[in-house]
Amino acid sequence: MSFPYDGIADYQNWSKAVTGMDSHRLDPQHGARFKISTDTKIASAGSCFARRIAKSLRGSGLNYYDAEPGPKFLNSEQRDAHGYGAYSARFGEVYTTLQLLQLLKRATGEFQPLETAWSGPNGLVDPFRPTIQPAGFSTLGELENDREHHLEAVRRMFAEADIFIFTMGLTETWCHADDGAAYPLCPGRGIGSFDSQKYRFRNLGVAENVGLLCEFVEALRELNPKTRVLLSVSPVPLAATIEDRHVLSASTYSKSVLVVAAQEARRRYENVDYFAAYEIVMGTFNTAEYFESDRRTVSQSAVEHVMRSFYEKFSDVTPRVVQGAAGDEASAALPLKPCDEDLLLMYLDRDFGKSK
Amino acid sequence: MTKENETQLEIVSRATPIYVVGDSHCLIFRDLVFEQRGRYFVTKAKFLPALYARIFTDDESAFNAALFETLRDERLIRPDGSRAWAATHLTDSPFVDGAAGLSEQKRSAPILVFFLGGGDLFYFIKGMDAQTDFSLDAIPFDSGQFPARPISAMLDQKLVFESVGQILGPLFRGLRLLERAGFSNVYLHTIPPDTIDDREYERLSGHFAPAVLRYKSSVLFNAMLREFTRQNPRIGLIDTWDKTTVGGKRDDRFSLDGFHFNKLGARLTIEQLVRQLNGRLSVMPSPPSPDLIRVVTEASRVDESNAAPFRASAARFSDMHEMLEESLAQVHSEKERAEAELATFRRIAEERLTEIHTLTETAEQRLRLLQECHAEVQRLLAQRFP
Amino acid sequence: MSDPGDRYVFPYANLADYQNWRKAVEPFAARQIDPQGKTRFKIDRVMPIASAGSCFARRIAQSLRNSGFNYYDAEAAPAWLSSQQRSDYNYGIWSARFGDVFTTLQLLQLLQRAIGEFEPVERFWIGRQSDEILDPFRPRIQPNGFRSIDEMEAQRAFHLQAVQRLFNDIDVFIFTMGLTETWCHLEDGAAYPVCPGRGIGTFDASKYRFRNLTVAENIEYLGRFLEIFRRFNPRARVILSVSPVPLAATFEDRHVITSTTYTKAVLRVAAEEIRRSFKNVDYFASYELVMGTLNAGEYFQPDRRHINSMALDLVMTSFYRNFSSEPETMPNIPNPSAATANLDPCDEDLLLEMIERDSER
Repeated sequence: MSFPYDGIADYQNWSKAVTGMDSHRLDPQHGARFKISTDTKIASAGSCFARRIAKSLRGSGLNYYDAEPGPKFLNSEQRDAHGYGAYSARFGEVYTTLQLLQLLKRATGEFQPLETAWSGPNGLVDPFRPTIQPAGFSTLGELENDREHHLEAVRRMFAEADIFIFTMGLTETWCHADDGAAYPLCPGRGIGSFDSQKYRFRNLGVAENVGLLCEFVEALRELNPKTRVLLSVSPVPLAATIEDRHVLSASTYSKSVLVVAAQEARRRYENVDYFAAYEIVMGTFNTAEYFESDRRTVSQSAVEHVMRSFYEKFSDVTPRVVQGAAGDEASAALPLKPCDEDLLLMYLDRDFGKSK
Repeated sequence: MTKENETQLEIVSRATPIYVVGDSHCLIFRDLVFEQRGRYFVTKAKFLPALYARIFTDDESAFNAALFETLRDERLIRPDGSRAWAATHLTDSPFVDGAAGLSEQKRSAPILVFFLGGGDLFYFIKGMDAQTDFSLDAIPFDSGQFPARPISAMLDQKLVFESVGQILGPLFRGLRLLERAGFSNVYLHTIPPDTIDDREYERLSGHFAPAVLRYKSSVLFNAMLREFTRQNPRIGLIDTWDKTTVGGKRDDRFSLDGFHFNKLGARLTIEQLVRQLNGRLSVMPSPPSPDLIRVVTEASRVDESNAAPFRASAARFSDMHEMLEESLAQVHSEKERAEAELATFRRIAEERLTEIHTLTETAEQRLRLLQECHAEVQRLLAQRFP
Repeated sequence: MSDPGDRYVFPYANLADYQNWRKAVEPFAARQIDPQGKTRFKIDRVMPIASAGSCFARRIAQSLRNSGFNYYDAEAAPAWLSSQQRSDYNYGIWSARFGDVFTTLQLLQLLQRAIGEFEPVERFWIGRQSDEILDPFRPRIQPNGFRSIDEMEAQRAFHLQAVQRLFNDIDVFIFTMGLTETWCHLEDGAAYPVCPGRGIGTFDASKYRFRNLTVAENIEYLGRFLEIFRRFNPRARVILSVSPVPLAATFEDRHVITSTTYTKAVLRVAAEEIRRSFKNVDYFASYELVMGTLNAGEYFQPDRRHINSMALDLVMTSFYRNFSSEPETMPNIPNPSAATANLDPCDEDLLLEMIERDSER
């Protein structure tokens, strides 16, 4: 009887796949369950890192779906500040699988959170996308009107996308104690106000994430039977942790949960695949170079490595961006808007210990 | 007159010295005089308290310093340069010759009996937990003779054998060195059995080890010593184990204390030695040549002049043996070459055969084609010219 | 938050420095980042400490041993063994001669075998020669195997006694988890440290099966291990860690880096869940230190699988700093670079050799 490892491919063997390879050419992604062509409508959401992916896709010449493009008269700075063009709709960061599922359910009308508005520094904010409108909404009616349009766009996005790319970022999240509504930010510090009886902390485990992902995939399939889901995990670490752990350790835990959940969802559903973006950034021995000096922000060279693998493995077309570094130089030059989670760091910097 | 008569001395004989070298087992042999049918032996104890089998020689096969000094001081070896030395009795030098003449010393190989391994045995036993065991399946040992004991660790037999081999290795290397240098009367003594009483052993040695473990280890060490002398027949073995044990345990008639022989034990040793000295020449390999037979019958004493013809014949045999081995190796290599050639020829023949097959096929095809052409021509001819 | 007065306090207002990226990670050079945070207990030089685990565990054992801790050795070598023999026969590598314990299932079964709760149906494997008998649960414990089945089983019985003694006597057990991919016996589920075949047992698809242990399974096995362990040694504490050494090869049809990340993620999650449910368990963040401080490129040897001595120094410094009751007297981490060079390849490295051996034929 032959030895079972006789038949394994080179990519399964460390000494052939990794040892001695140029670390910038290491590609932990092997094969893909589906391919993207120029006709494929791509939608995406996720945590900070998803924004980098979305930006690259937009410039690649592929068919990136924007369900909520916003008024034509806005200039690029305004668009950026108002969350237009960051993702396929104006939902801001979607960090957790719980947030994602609730986004879909809110869009289909299945879930109506109890809490409809928070007070912000300049007016009302939408608790589910608190930084989407820098000046806030002046009335609840205005907010709800905008949200109605937004959710309609989200529904359209889910219903029409051929492929939905979701980059998971966090497992630690704050939820409403009564209906479980998950927020991208912990309320407080002028964006909503904290109340330990009203909000509770959750650190979603593997089982919870798998359950939520499955529920999402099935709900999405009901709405849009042809769609495929591509999961990945953001390499951007946690800004801070509520668990009494070192933030790096808590971050490693969170990412581990997400990696496991993603692989499990992939195992369960034929229309789900996993894209090894996290592995490319964290696992190719380039980490010293793949993060900026704050050790959180993923560097441009890392994003390029990630997207090179993406286009090679998941698309049939040669995207523009691969040859010429950046498809649209104007937007490439713009600094990225900070993510919602970065706000946490700003709070911590600004008034650490001042809140008593 | 009478007073003078009282102090008058008689020279009884010149005794043959026997050097007993090694650990504390040597001590009982200090200046004992043995007599066998008018022949005298005197045992000279050379107790080297810090000498162990495991340091008998160093990694570069140099003798332990204390051992070297003893052999030198007894004029058994002569230093030659800083590290080199030679057996004194084989040395050609007017000085040595003169000294030998003055002392009426026969230029013969001195008799050396080595008591070594006892200290190493202690080191071996002490290195193990008291509840350790190992198996000895190739060597007879009846542990049923001893009280049962708890066992918590079982050492691998290969590992134990290998380790004892390593411990005794420097001794073996050194003895071979002596033998090769011309010390043809070297004897290795088995390790005597120690007390069966665990308390006494602990009191004397400061270490507790159950008798069964100690005896098992002794049996193993002695088996190694026996095996060494079996493989090196020119080094003698003095094995008194069976004579000094009853049912695998020490026979106290021969013991002085927890570890050592008394004089009765010492006598056993020298008896065995003398028996071997007497029998030694008769076991030397010798072709039945008349002049050699004469020497054997005359050889009642062991000295180098008697041994010389045997040494020469042994050397001849050794040379013949080497020659035979060489020619055997040659035959082997020729066989290999022939086999390789055969394989090559076979391969070439097979290739040829394949080639011929192909050619045959082609020819046959051509033939068929020609036949068809021929048939066609015949047919046309028949049509044209019916 | 239980204090009603704190009801409206922003929860991130009172974070410790180690919970905040800006204070715990950003200001430090990579080599100065210590991702441990708090520990639940400390170890001193009196407590008997034992360890087991994957390749990386050997390094930890070596460091503890050389640092004056009471590293427990249930199967001490006879004093007269040479260092070569010690290494050939795997004395003094772990707290007992159990070989590499890569998976939580292997660990559970080790304990179960030691206390007689599990007797695997497969008694032995045959090595390269037909008279080379191997213990399937520690196939490379000594060169050329055992000479007979009886001898192997006799020695294994004593070995398992020693393991039982170990779990009885120790105060602290350190387990470094390495793998989730494993090969098991179909009938009784016995988990082996290597895939049988290539002269270390014989592969047989109708006898062995591949498993990739999930989070739930790992939690179950670790949990059962801890329950049994606690039953007869209630005072013992356990430190879990995850080995940063990647997989040598993956049997899953995906890239080996992706499989490695998955495996380590499973183990990291399992460790955290177990730490939550067992108060006598803590987690040592060695994996984070090597893989999370964004310095991984510098911490590995040229094969990119084995961590180098600098990383090991950092890991052990962190260990002593956080887990030792007297960290201030711990400045001298014995330099392991010379010693680590002599460490045998562990059983998993063997897999690469086994694959290699094939391609040469």
